[in-house]
Amino acid sequence: MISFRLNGQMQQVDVPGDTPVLWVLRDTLGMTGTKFGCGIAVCGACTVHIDGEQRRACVTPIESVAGQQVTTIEAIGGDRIGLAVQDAWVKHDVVQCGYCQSGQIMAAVALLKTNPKPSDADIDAAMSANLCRCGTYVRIHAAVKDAASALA
Amino acid sequence: MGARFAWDASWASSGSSFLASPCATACTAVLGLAAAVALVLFAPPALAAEAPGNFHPTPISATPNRQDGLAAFAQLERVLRHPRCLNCHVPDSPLQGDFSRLHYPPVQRGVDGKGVAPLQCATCHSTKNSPLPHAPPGLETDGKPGWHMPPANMKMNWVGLRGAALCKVFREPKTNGNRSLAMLEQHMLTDHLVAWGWSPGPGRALPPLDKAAFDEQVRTWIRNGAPCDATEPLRKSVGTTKAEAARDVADHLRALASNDQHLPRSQP
Repeated sequence: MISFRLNGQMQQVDVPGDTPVLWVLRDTLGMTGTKFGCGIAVCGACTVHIDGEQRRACVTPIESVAGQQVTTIEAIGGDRIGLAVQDAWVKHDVVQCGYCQSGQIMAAVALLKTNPKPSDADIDAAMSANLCRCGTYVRIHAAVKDAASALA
Repeated sequence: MGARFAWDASWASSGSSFLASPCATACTAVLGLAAAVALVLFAPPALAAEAPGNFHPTPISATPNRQDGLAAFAQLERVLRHPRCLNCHVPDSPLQGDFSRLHYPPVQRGVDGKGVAPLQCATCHSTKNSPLPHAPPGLETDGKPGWHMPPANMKMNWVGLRGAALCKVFREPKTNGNRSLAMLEQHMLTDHLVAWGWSPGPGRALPPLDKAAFDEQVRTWIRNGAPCDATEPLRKSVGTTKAEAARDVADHLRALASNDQHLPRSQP
């Protein structure tokens, strides 16, 4: 049995320790907001926060997050930074197909939590590890910048 | 301070400055002892990554053979210049893969060699290798993702270096992470990130020597005076191990703390 905090609540799962966090979220717990993209930590669709830092859930063994705080897209709007990013996403109508957007938002929040006033270059660098096959990068960039302004 | 306090780069700077400034009169023995205990208990991460257990440094032979030492380093060099090692021993951002391509995503080294938040090594490199090809490799340090490259203040860049030039950067404490020969041997033989080079996960080429052969060449090079060229004097001492250096630091701090007990306290 592996225990961790999921979106603020204690959670216990009875799975092999090397099960990826993504499998636990989607298959064991039925939380499908976090997406399976490439499965090899390259696209960023599965991004979650572990103790506040972004991680690729598809390559993170569940045993490695025991006792830690896992935050997913379902709860990212629970603080002012997450809320500002969500608002900016809606304002800029960022989403096209939407598949990558959970990861994009998690990455954007991680950026603004460490760098409240990111430059254009900071945004490009921080968001470069999250791929979008629809090519919504311009809108993503604008939304991150707008969220930072709203939080200033 | 010499080899006695040769140590992990980031820690060395703070440790040596602390030692260079003995406690003023207001500093009590309690503080000194607390610092000593803290230093022993909370050793730098690099220590945790290297098994301290049964390591015994290879002594330098009474009759070192320079040619044998140079031949051993020539074998070591084949490994050091292999992408499994060289991809992170770079001037700036890391490289990746068997062809040492630019790293995707374009991460930066960061002060501690673990990336710059929010895009850190641990974002994609978890606690173990993925079984799938092309996934970022991983390894664990004290239960956490342990992937990293050398820190910004000790880049240990080997790109473009060969032969004697590479050997000297590899051997000298000022460019190898403040490691004595004994510490360097321990790092090569027991560090789990070094060992990862021989367990890199699917789809990655292995270094040209196996780990046992690599370890033996390290020992042979050191046993023969750790030569880098045909003219410089051979090394006569391997210096202290990490465990010995840790004991030295703790003893030194205890001595400082003990001395402080006899100093007059500052008036309030």
